[in-house]
Amino acid sequence: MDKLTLSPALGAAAHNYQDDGISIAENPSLALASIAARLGQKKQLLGAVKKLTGLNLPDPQRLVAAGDYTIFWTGPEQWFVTAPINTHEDIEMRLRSVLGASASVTEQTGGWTRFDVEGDKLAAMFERLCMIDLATTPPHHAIRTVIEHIGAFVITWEGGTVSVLSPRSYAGSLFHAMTVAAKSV
Amino acid sequence: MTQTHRLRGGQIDRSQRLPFSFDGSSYVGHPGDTLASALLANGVRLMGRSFKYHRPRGVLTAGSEEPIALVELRTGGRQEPNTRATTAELFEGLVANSQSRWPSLKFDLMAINDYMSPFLSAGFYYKTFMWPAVFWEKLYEPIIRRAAGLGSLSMEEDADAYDKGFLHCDVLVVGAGPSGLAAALTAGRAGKRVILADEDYLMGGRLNAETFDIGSGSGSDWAASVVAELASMDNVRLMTRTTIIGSFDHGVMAALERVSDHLAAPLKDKPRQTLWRIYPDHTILSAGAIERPIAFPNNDRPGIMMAGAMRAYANRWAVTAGKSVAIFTNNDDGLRTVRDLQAKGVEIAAVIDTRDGGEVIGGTRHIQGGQVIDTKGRLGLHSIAVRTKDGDVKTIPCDALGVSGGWNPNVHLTCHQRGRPAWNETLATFVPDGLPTGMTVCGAARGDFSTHGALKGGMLAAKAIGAKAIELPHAEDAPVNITPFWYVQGKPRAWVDFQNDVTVKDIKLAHQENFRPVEHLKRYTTLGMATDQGKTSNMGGLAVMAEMTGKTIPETGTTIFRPPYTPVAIGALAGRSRGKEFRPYRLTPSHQWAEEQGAVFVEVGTWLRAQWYPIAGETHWRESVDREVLATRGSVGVCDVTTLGKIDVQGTDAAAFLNRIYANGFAKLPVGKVRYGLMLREDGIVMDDGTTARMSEHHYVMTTTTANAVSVFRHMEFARQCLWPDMDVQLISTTDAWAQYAVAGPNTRRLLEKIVDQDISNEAFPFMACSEITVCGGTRARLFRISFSGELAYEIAVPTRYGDAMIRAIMKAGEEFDVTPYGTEALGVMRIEKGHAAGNELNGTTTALELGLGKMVSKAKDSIGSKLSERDGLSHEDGFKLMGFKPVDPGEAFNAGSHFLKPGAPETIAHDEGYMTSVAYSPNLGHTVGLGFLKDGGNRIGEQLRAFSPVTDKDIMVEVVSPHMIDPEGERLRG
Repeated sequence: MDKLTLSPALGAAAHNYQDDGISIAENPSLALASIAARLGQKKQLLGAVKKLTGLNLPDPQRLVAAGDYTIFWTGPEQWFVTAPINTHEDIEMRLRSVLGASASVTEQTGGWTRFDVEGDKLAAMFERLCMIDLATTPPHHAIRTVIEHIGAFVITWEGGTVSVLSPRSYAGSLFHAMTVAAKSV
Repeated sequence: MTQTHRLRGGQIDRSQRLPFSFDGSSYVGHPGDTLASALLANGVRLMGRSFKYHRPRGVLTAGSEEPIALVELRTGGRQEPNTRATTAELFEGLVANSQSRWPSLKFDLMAINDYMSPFLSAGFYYKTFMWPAVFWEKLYEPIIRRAAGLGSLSMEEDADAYDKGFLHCDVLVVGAGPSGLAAALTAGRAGKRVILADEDYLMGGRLNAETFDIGSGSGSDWAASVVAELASMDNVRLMTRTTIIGSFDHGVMAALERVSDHLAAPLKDKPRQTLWRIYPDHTILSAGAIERPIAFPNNDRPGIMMAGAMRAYANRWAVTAGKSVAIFTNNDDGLRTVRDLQAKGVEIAAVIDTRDGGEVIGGTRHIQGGQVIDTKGRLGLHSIAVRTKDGDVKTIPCDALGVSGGWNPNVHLTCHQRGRPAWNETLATFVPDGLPTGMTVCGAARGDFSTHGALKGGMLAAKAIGAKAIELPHAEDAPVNITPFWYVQGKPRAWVDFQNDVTVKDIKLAHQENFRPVEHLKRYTTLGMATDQGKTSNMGGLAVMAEMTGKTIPETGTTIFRPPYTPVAIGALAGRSRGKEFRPYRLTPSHQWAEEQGAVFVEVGTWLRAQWYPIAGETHWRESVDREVLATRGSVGVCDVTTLGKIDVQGTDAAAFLNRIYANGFAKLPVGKVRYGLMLREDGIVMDDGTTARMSEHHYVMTTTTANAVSVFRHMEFARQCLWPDMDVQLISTTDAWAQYAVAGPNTRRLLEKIVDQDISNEAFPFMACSEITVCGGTRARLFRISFSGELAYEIAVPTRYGDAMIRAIMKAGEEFDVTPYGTEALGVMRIEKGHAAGNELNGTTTALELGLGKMVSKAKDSIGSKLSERDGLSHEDGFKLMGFKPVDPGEAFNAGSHFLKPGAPETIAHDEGYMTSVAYSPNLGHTVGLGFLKDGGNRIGEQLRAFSPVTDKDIMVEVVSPHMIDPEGERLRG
């Protein structure tokens, strides 16, 4: 058989939207895995993560990034780790081998879809989507919220760009909700 | 018709003419007009009919408190009933129609109610239409509703979209009158993040309706300059056309922004309205005050309105309510209207002041100590009768009458958390008391009725939350001079509540019949109900009741208010959640491929799953489903089963954890094996089922049913975090991370051997095996040897990003076997044929014993629900058992939901033997098959029963069979 090929969440090509004040772009370039500290192993996990990525595990609602790795908090003693998919498609195995018995690692790469959003209408658009106060949220926050009934993470970056992560199966409805909000502003 | 009642000045743009129509007649107004001001300018006083008596009515106020000038605005899908003419902004081509009248506004046959008023007093229908009881719903109520009613719906779908949104600020200022502007300016200059919201399209509040100065200029000019300064501040958000409709827990406020209501239609892609949820640290309520009427005989004729509204129409909209105007007042504020109208050149017919003494206004017939005791004019006022303090009665011709009974602070938002206003004797009104979290009140809303008091109060409210004081301009500071006066004694009816047609007489009746507490008074008379929520009437009704009971007003009580402050369209509450967008959809990894095949989709929770895949020539869904079932059992079929919940369970205690979650044993499941698991609720009832695979020593992958994926995950998280926090176990959903396909049928292995890189022979990979594998030359995947259909089957999972490629690869590899995709219908047929339980059987009332799985509940260990499943009522061996059913006559079909009865037994609950849960046509067996619960079913195989549906009266004879109607020994799936 021919080798299997990767596909984005919504059909053959990544979904994008652009108007005068906003751009929404599906970003399929991330490998993603969750890590959860085993009982009583948080200290060991911190050390192992630091060794691999140079990063400390972030507090609730926070994100840290360096080199290929980005880590954000997702729940009590649980984090998501992302890295470029072209070099880290095996992210789960890499983490598993480094973290050993300090963490439970689960592959999540295909489970989430990320949209990167930027533009002048960003704040006004998100006012119509979720209850996060983007105007006062500094960069490197990863906030769990709900957008049109869809559980999502809203991540703030330097320079005012925002990323939204939702379960992949919801990508179509999320993209629709975002474009409707963008046009509504 | 020309604008006969237009005055000079005002804040309207005369350079533009806006044609509009009311009840089919054409008129012209200007930008800046409301529908009410434009109608008044055109000399139209008659705007509607009253709710109950169908009395001709005009406009009472100039704001959102309006109780009677209600119209149906627009037509078709945009038609909205009960729109207040006082807040509807005029636009070119506006179409409005009066309501509560038939056949026309001027000639309304329902006005016969007015002549029958002695029989239509408060509570009349409750007393009158008591017999026979059945007539109430079928006859009386429909007639009464048609006769009463407030406007009608077009019954067309709303043509507009609505948004919802969330806003945050340091301080929300509610109302942009003098106090609100002072508060916003103080907070804004201090760098606070401010939202200033006003329901009007023009900020300034009463400053636009009055003539007195602030500083060296007019009040309206000062307001405009402050608004301009605020607009220049990045930290201030000005929201016009935005009503704060409610105050909620933790200081959260709701606001309705009328984004497009001032336009003929919203701009492309823009909403009509936006419902905002605002999270302020502080709220400054500067909502102003509402003028209250005085009740006097026949006080409801078109042309009679609030004196303050009359002044607003003259000053802001350059409109006079009449050519010859009288004023009836009990306070100094009413006299302001006299002066302002005089200044505009309007003839003052008389000033009737209930007080004996005080200022006499020159150039007018000023009657002190007088009362208006009656009025005349069927479709519009043409005279009033006045009784002087000497007892003389004089008739005074006039076509408009301004009434002022004093002002009530607008306390609504202070009451939404059950704050109860307190009586202020000096002001003769209720003022706010018991405020919600984070709220302060200033200006007229707290009883500071002078402009100076409002400005100072607003500034101090902002200062109290950390802003620096600002210098305020000079403004009038007149004291409140009022002698409370509520109603004029007299025989004709005197209206207290104009919207609900409640008169002084109705309140007397309530008193007489002992409905005296205010809450009873309200419900007995309907005082303060409907769209205006008693903004102009509650106080008057309370005062009349106080006088009758001989108590003071505070002793009598006060009503409080509920959200919303003004009516809200249901569409705004729904936002975007309507029609196909009522909720989001989840799409499977093969969705696009399935669309390409022309699949028909069905909603399963939020998922869209392929229900069947019709091919050319098939005209009925059964043809497609029968073909899919036969093809799968005959060769090989494939179905996307990604929607089943997948939960990753890891940790050194994962095995022990699952052993407690599942009723059957899991601790000894070997690595590389899958086991069917049954999960009970705490009460012993079956919660869910599924398979769980042991991928490694401390790593399991659990599957749940599609419908219960979230609830099972939540249940397990609760158990992990709260019941057994000392267990080392971690959970995370991986439902979306893996695309999973069930491949079933005798040729399954031959197909998969072309895809899977490893040996999957029966020896290497027996029934209930699982493994991490690779497919198509190296892509990581998982393989599970499990079967829901009863055929030789595998489920193959790949990371979701390969899901689309995987289904295409399976279809390509299966071409030589005529591989057939099958949907949820065929899936259902095959599982019913095989006797596998699904949602219909795991319906929240059934036990493991009833499902034929009683032996799975292990007695050798403890697990959630195992003990309670042993309760007497749940453990009778002769109780319900899941059985199979087939029709005695193979040509007959029965339905799910049928109940089993012994032949000849009466069709009653007492003789009920059980019920059918799942039914399908089996193309393999050639007849309908069913699963159902039957009392002592295990001992009744071969017995014939009636499957009776009391809903459809369908009555079919069925035979009890084993639930395993295909391959009962399970040879196929182990082959």
